[in-house]
Amino acid sequence: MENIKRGGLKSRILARLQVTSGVFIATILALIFFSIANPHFFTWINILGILRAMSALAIMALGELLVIVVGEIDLSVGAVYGFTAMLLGILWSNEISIFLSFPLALFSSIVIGVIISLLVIFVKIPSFVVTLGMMSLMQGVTMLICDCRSISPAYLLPQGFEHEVAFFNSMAHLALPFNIPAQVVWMIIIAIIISILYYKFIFGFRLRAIGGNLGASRLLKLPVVKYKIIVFAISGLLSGLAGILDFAFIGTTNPTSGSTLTFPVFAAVIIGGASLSGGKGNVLGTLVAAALLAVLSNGLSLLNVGAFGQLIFTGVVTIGAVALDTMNIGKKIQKS
Amino acid sequence: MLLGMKGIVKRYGNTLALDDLEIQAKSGEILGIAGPNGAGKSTMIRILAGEETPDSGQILIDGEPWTNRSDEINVAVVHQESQLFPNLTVAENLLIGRETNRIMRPDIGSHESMMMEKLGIHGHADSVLGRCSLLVRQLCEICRALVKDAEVFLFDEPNSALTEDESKKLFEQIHMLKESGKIVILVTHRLRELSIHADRVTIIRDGRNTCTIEKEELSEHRLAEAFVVAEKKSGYLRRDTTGHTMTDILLQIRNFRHHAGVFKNVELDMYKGEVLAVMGVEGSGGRELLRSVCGLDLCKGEVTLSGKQNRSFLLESLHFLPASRRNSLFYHLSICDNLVMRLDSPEIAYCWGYLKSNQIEEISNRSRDKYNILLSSIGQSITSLSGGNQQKVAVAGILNKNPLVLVLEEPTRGVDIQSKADIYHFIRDYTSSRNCGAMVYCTEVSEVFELADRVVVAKDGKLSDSLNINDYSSTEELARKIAKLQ
Repeated sequence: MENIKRGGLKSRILARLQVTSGVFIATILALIFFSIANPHFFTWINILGILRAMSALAIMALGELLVIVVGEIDLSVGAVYGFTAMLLGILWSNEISIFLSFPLALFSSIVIGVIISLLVIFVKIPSFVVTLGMMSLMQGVTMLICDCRSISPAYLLPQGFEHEVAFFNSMAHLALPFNIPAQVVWMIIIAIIISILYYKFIFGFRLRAIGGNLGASRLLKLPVVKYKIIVFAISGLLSGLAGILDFAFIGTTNPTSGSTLTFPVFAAVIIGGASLSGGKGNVLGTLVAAALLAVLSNGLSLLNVGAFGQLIFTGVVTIGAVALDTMNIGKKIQKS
Repeated sequence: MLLGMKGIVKRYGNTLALDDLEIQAKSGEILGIAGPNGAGKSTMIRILAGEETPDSGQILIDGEPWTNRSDEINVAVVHQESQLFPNLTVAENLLIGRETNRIMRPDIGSHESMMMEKLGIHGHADSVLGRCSLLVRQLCEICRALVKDAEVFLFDEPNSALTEDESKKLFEQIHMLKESGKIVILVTHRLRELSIHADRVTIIRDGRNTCTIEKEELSEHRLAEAFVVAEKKSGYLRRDTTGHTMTDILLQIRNFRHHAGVFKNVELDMYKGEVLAVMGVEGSGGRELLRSVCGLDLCKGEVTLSGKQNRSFLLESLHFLPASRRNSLFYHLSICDNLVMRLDSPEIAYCWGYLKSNQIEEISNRSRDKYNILLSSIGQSITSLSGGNQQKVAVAGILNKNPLVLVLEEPTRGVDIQSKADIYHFIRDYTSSRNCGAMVYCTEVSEVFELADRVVVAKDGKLSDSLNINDYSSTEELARKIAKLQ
């Protein structure tokens, strides 16, 4: 008996591209438009700048993607980003070695994710409410621990910490071949890990099942609780890491940093093809959507449009992408 | 007044839900409607209630076509689950949608309070409906229909979740409606209620009425027989299992008690290699027993499987297939994904979690051949399959897991006859070849007769002694016996 193949790797990648073709087209159109509008846009330096600028957003969006696929929501990513960076800054400027304070800060972001998941699972508070509360709570805690001041460790640390400062800067700045900053490499590595985890591991396979039909997953005895904890922990970890990487790049962190990121992170996941009802998401689409948002922001600022333009465009693109998605679903239902 | 449905046809896609249905109801009588699952009862109710329009056919009132359905004659449907607003009070539920004053919150009128008094729910007027008992909720629904001057009352499995006392009160009200000259239609599975309360019973099957039993010959026996005739038989012939000695106990349940008290002190044995059917009307505790055995409902008591009581071993060895495909399949995933969803490492993944895509493909292809699933590609969406093939995928999914005990809730609900026979074959083949057990909750006697070795009947949270299917020569004989126990 001949075996029916699921389709080769190539066709599967093509199928995935097809799902997110809208984002691809939008991104390419945006690239073409800005290249024509401003000669400084399509230069290697600027492209690298865009990649760098999108990396924190993309890393957080990949964590958020998993949360949305499992059918939950995490609004606290921006607050965790700010908190983790600030915690690292405080610990480090109190002369705790970066090699200890860095893992400690990351650990704290995982703990926040786990706390959120436990509240969602065992206290049965909707994740929207838990993370909305957590967002405000963490912003408050961040301000509390830093006394509402920015922290620039390089200026606060005594002598003898030079090599630690150099190490910290290199985490984001280290120039690789073609001047690619290390932060972009972080993004690429994390994207590869997440996409393997999502497409190639039983973890991603069941994640999609749980998000798409929670009731059936419970009856089939899939590890719903474990997976939800892991997903929120990953989301916390990646938000924290993104915060630290941006901190390393800028060299200073302030108590409100990250608070403007919550919406773009969310927008990237949704524009990238995830369904808010869970069970569906696309790693590549999320990355491209993050790139689209970064391109819009960079291109519009090159055209001197001002901050309002970026906000308006992000909003329009988000609503437009979801509108396209729902109209497609409407057509599919009509067909069947 | 005379209400008739004549030549009603209703199609959903490729399935013919109603096919030339004819029903006659007179005012001042209770017409009972019975039929197996999927016979078209709920479609009939929806059409009478005006929620759906038939593709062809007519609804007649006193011989006149009933076209203007808006206000003249109201049809009230009292559902199994109340369709009112649980967040409003009983009185508010009576008023909502009928407010005469457009601005102010309306007050309860004398007409409404009289009706509430008549039904005995005036004491609950200001309590929030969601916190009232089910009986009050149903009475509230009747009351709402009465104040709207409804002429036709449809009861859809009204007492399935009521206690005996409550059902008695509900039926008192139903008889009051009948005496006041309303048309009452009672749709239920419970043959006893039909034989006691109905004046006539029409049995429907495959969307048409097969027979109508008049008051004179109405009895539980007669109904059970007519009911069995109406069930779709798969024609699957069981291998004779008389040679199969049922000696080794596989699963032993002792002193089993549901956390919500749906059943108490249940004792049940299951032998190796047997298919044990559980029957029982809604609310009898049969369904809950299956879920509880699998550890899905909270329960107290002893469950011993192959001599072990270890909880993780039980959870691993007992697998549950819910009745609704919405709860057993993942409609957003492919057929292949659904076939292997219950599996874990080492079957479909390495111990470190990496998926073995070749194995997944192999298992899916093997399941497709073994379980006779008609498909063009295992990667296609599960929604592209017919109901019967979807159910085969769900059954194949649980069999792929190789559980020691299969726990199946209505494994052939809403599937065609051929798939039904196939599924019976898969289940029997699995249990006899591996010496495993299967516990099956059935709603149809013909399914029990064709599939099971033994059957126990649940009633009010207690189990009857088991009946050996081989002791019965025909479905009708078994049906009579089961009707007595239900």
